[in-house]
Amino acid sequence: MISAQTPPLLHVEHIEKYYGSPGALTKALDDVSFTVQAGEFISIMGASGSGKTTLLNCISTIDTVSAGHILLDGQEITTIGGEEIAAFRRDCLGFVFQDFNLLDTLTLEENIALPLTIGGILPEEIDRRVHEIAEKLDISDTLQKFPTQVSGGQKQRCAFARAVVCDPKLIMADEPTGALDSHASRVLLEVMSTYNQEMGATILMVTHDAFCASFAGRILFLKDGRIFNEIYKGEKSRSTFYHEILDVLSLLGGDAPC
Amino acid sequence: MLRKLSLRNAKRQFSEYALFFVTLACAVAFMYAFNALLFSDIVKALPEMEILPYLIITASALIILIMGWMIGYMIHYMLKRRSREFGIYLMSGIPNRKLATLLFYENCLIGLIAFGLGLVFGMLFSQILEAVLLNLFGLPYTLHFGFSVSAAGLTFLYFTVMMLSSISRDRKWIRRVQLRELLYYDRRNEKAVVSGGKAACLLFGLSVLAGCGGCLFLALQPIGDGYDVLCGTVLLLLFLFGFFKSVPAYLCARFGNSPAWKYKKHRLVPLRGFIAKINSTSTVMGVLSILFMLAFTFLGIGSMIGLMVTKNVESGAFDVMILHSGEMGDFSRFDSLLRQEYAADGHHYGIYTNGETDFRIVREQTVIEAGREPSLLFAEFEYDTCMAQSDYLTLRELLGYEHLELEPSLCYVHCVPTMAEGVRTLIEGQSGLECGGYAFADDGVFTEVFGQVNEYGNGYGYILVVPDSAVKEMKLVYSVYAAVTEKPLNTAELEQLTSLCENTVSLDRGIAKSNFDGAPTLFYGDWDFLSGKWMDKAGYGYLYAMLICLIYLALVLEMTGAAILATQVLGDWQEKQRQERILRQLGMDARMMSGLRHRQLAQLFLFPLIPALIISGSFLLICDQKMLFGFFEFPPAADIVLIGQSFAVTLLLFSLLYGVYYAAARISFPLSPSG
Ligand SMILES: Nc1ncnc2c1ncn2[C@@H]1O[C@H](COP(=O)(O)OP(=O)(O)OP(=O)(O)O)[C@@H](O)[C@H]1O
Ligand SMILES: [Mg+2]
Repeated sequence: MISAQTPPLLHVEHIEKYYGSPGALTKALDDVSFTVQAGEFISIMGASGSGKTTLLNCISTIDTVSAGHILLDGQEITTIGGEEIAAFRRDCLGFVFQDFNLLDTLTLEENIALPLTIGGILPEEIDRRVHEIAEKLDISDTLQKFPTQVSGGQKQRCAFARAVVCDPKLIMADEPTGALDSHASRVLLEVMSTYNQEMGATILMVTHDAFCASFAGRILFLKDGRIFNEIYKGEKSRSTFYHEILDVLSLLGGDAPC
Repeated sequence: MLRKLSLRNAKRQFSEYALFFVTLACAVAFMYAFNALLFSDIVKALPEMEILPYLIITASALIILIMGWMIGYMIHYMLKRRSREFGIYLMSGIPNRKLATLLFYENCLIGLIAFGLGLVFGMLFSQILEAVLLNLFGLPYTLHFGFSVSAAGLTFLYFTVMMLSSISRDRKWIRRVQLRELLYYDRRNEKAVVSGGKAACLLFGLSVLAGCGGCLFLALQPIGDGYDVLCGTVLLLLFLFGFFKSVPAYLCARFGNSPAWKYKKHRLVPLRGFIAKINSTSTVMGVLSILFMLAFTFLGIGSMIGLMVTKNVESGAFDVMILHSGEMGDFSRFDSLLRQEYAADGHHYGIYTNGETDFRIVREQTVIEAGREPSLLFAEFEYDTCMAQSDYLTLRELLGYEHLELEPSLCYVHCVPTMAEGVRTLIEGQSGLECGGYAFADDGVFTEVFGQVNEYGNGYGYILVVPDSAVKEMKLVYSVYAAVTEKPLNTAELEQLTSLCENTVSLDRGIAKSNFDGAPTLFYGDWDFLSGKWMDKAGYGYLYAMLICLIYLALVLEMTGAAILATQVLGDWQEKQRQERILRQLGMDARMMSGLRHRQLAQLFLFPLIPALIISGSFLLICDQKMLFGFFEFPPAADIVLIGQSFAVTLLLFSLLYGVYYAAARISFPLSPSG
């Protein structure tokens, strides 16, 4: 599935991130490097405060790095500034958040259409794409409802639809199942994993939960801002992979109880 | 402990409460300033101001009601927004009763500080008000910082009534409120949900129909007898009620289901935000609309009154006119006094009549054509009035008008602009028309301001300017001494004039008597009657009193409405920030974002205003017309021009205050952190 010849989609090189004043520095990320191939589904795990959100935010241009480079499809994104950043986010990135971040005043349909309207796509085209994606994610029935009228799982699937409707190069999710029960989590993850396999979408997902992480093809473990370990699913079954993850976590937890 | 907590809270909440605080302070300032008029010796000394105190007290009663509602609303709104905080207090063991006390202290504190600050501004504002008032009467204003204890006391009384009534209501609420209700307050946002049902669209259609019907009733008055106004008002109220209830659902049905419309030009977010906001605040919006409607109407009537009085005074042309009935009076004592004291330049002359009525008929026709009924005819104006050419030329020179070469053997006409057309047609149409044996000049109609808009000026509406020899044969109706002074004369100076010159009274246009023949006249006895621009103006004191009160009411009403609107806007800034954060993550750029922000703010500020403007506009149109009809037989300009002028002034004044609140809302709307 992953070919070594094609250049990686995402290239993270020695990035560092500090918070605070020079007197009292917090090192949130410490010399993190990794690459992501197009079509990969990667999960990032680690204890609370280990720098997962920070890493995701740096890649997604929500935050800036203190040192190092991030290349997406060969383009250096740490130096994109001002007006370009908005267009870059719109065209290249998709986000899914723990608390959905849907606009309550818009119907689900309109929430999904939102990034397309920002991009100035023609209304008929918007309508077509929204319905197509809703069909795929199985939320066609709820499109006319408002976020307050649907379940958390439906909301998160809507948020995922909104993230992918623009066909971004990279989809990022920060604890997407954090606010969902186990059933809704499972449905969402299956949707994400199917989308990854069928559409070849590249997904980067932060999670606490080993079960969620087991849907990914590769897992990066972060500890104190460094990459501590990295495991591949390969041809293993999901339950084997799940146990492997638990093993790594206990190793991690033994070193640094959170 | 609680006292300290409430103090700290008040401090911390200051920025959120700033708008509320400023509005309270402004209300106090207004109330103090107008109450100060009640107790001001200067105002007491003004003529015809006896009515002012009653008007101000009535206005104050109305203001207490409206402001009381507004304060109650704002306090409640603010409390609701702090629900979670109160929930946490309750959870940590502070009993409801104590919490209520805490809030009571907090509000009292805010109220007291606002009151203090308001008094300071009120003192300033009362000076401005006094200066304006004195200026209206042409009296000199000297800066003095008097503090009226009685006015402050009265203001405090009003203020306390307003504050306590609204605070006590919230006290009851907080005493009974359940913890769950507080903690989950902001979860109750299902109100954001609107669906465009058929019933709502029908209601919308009906309400729009009612609105159009109401405006038509007011504008056209098909029934007459005041029933139109009643029907119109009822229909308009129905419109307001139905409109705000149904407009969200209508918009939803009209645009919400049309991808082709809503997905274009970044309309989606403002449209939906707007619908949700209106839906959750439809009652408030309706009330705001009524407030703005009243404010605009009052302001409009006030500005019309001001305009009419000003125009009327202007049309008087001469600063002083002294009239003597039936014979040539002896005006030398006025002449010397006015020349000495006021550097005046004057001339005395006679107003004669030839006993014909050719031009009187033109006057009556003009009045009827302008939509009015000709008023009661004074004895002096039953027949055409004339003056000698030489007098006319002197008067023109006195007023600084262009010099005319008049043909000594022809007659001319000087009339108000509205009559000119009719006079020309008469002269051209009726061959052989003459006056005292002299024919009329072609092209001999002049229309400069000449003191003809009111009776007992240089004729009424018109005067025939005839050769000097012609008047010798005519009957003298009354004689006039007309003077132009260097400065306007104020009431005190006018009074001085009547008291210094014996046998002089001021001309009272309000009281007509009967002469020997039973025809009405303003002249009686063997007096000299003082008239002229400033005399007329002094007679309009009661109108100024009304004007002041109308503006007072309008200001407070508008301020109340705008403050509530601004609170609404600022109230959900957290929600707006969240929205902006999401949009930024979705790749909306900064320019689009600020455009969106302005659009949403402008929408909200314009929305309750538009129905208000339409309704009060049609109201004002008929009011203004009625007022003009009653006030001027010969409007100095076409009625519609005057109404337009008054509308322009009203709009300007209204948007000034409105703009302040709009700007405040725009400035204080916190920008979300960028990134
Ligand atoms: N804005 C900030 N200012 C200062 N320090 C920050 C900031 N954001 C994060 N940090 C610090 O950086 C470190 C990493 O934070 P980060 O949010 O990335 O952790 P996380 O792995 O996402 O944790 P969690 O699983 O709890 O979400 C933490 O020590 C945190 O205290
Ligand atoms: Mg995190």
